[in-house]
Amino acid sequence: MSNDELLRESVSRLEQALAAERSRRDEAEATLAGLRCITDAGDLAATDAALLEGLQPLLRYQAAAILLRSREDGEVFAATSADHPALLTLRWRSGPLLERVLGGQTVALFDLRRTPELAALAETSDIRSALCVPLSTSTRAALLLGVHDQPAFFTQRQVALAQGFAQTATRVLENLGAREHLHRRQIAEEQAAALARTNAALREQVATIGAQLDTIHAQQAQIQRLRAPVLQVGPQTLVVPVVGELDQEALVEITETLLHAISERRARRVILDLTGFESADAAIADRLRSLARAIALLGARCVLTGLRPALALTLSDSALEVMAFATLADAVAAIRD
Amino acid sequence: MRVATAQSHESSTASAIRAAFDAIVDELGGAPDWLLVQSAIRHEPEALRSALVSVGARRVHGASSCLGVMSQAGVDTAGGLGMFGIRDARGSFGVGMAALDDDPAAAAGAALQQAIDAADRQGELPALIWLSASPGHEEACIAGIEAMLGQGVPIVGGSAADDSVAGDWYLLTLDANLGDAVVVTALYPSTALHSAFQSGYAPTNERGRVTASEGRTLISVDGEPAAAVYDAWTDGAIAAARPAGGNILASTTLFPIGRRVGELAGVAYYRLAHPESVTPEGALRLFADVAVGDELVLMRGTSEALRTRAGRVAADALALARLRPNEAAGALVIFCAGCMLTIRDELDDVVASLREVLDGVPFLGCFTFGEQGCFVGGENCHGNLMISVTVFAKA
Repeated sequence: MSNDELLRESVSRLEQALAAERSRRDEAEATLAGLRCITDAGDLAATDAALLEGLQPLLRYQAAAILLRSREDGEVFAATSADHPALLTLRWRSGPLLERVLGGQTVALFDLRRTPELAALAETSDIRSALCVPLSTSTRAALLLGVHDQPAFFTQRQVALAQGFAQTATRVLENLGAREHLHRRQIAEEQAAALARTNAALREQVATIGAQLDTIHAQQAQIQRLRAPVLQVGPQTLVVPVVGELDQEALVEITETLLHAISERRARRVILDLTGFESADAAIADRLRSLARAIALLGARCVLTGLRPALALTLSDSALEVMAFATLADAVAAIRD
Repeated sequence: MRVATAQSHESSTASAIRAAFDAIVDELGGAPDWLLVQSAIRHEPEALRSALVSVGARRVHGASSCLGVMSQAGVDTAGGLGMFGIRDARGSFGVGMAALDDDPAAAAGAALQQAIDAADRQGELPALIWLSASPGHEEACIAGIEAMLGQGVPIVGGSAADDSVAGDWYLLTLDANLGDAVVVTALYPSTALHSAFQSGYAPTNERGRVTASEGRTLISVDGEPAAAVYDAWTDGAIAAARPAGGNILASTTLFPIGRRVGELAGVAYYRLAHPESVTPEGALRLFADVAVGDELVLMRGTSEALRTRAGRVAADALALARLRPNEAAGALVIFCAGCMLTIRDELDDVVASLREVLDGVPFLGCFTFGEQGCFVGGENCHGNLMISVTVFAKA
């Protein structure tokens, strides 16, 4: 070969190497730009919007959308957001083309009117060509659909660029998805731990309150016992010294306790010692009468002792017919006699 | 993606097809999903077609080649045939053919549509268009394809050829064979492919502008009869043929006419037009269209360059594809028939240069009367005296 031809061939080879390097640089820059979009965005939802904006200068689409599997119909892919009204209403039903894209193949469509799966998009809009870029991860089926109003706008060069980007981006998206999943799991675990701690604290509080309630109940019982203890002073004689107020609640408790004791101990007489009892209103007379009747219904007699004058006066106005003694000792003595 | 090639020297067309097809099937482990058949015109096209149907071939793209074919097994210019089969379950391939009639662009568009439909990839941009056409209207065929697909798909192939430029070339598919037609394959392989397309000639300082032309007939350059201008540029390369006119292929192969296509880094690259005959009126007939206003440059080549260039184009294709030979499944080589005829006795060197670079990769080469390819800058062109190598990646 002549020196001239060798020189030209060397120059030609260098030109080709230069063109190849430019191509690789474009591809690397595209990939980096897209990856920056992903990493800057932080989470998958924000990544989608950033990707559409970040890849536009490279892939040169007029509008684009990220299509995801519809929640209502698993056979349909739809845009979550888009900057073209026709893309927003697009419902891409699964077919061989969509399956190829979801399988990882980047596809340029030179005329949507000839593409059965997307012909409707061309019929209802000015969109004529499209570039489909797979962006699926193990947890999310997704693709980027870039569109243009010029037929045959997208070239094999753009297919190669997009394919190179998609291969790297998918791995990054996979990591991002995994990180998000891990993050969500960590948050869930932290929330579960916090909930467990709260439950334990609540259980502890409930236990404490329960113990306090038990104490209160015990104290109430003790108070009740102290307010109206049932004492047996003879084989068939019970004494109940009534102390403090005899309100309705106390009357019920005294009645229950007393009737149970009468029945259990087969008592025939019950002495209600009112020495420590100070009230003298009409309601007290009614309550004492009720108590006396209940005692009588069990076959025992009710005897009152220690009546204060005011109470005696009140009882005298009522229809209560019971024996009464001045003191408990008198009553006990009388019963023994 | 798997590729196998086969040649057959059998004299019977049916036996030759059977032998080559069986070899392809054995190598691929099954019938190929796309089959390129290149044959010398010794085999009649209808006999080829019916033989291909009878062996059960699918998606056949066929064209005639000058004298024969070459492959990794060697070169055959004694009238044999060759096959290049692709088996790629995840890819798609479709073939279409149309008669050129009076609208070659429309015919190419129709053949392309058939091919895309046959591949069942309606609306999808193919990775590559493989084109074979009768000589004469290749530019229009490329324009017809680009009218549908745009300029973003490489269009590669070679014009059908016969043994003596007598118009006996043919094109065929499983459905028909035609003498004046275009066959298009839309390739959607599952793996990458890359193509390199080079002329291998250097520009000289001899230049002129077309002042009269009709299609492929160059009538005058700078106002002077084209034959006289060319003869002066080449120091009398066609002097003997000028008075009566006639075939000048052999004497012009090393001196084609170049037209600038584009440039990279300030260095121009050219597509070539091969002068095939001179008329008694002093016009030159070429294998490519020229138009008034085109700037022409006399190019110069050497037979040594023709012997070794195919290997270097193959190296470029591998480099563009970023593939090592063991990562390539196969390669298709288009080699200008004019170049082949010039170095006919040294074609073993061409095969050797390809074997050395491709290092075990199966390849099929055919000899064409016009070459179509995609330059580094992305321009799809028809030219003469060109070489293209297309490599298919395994994965």
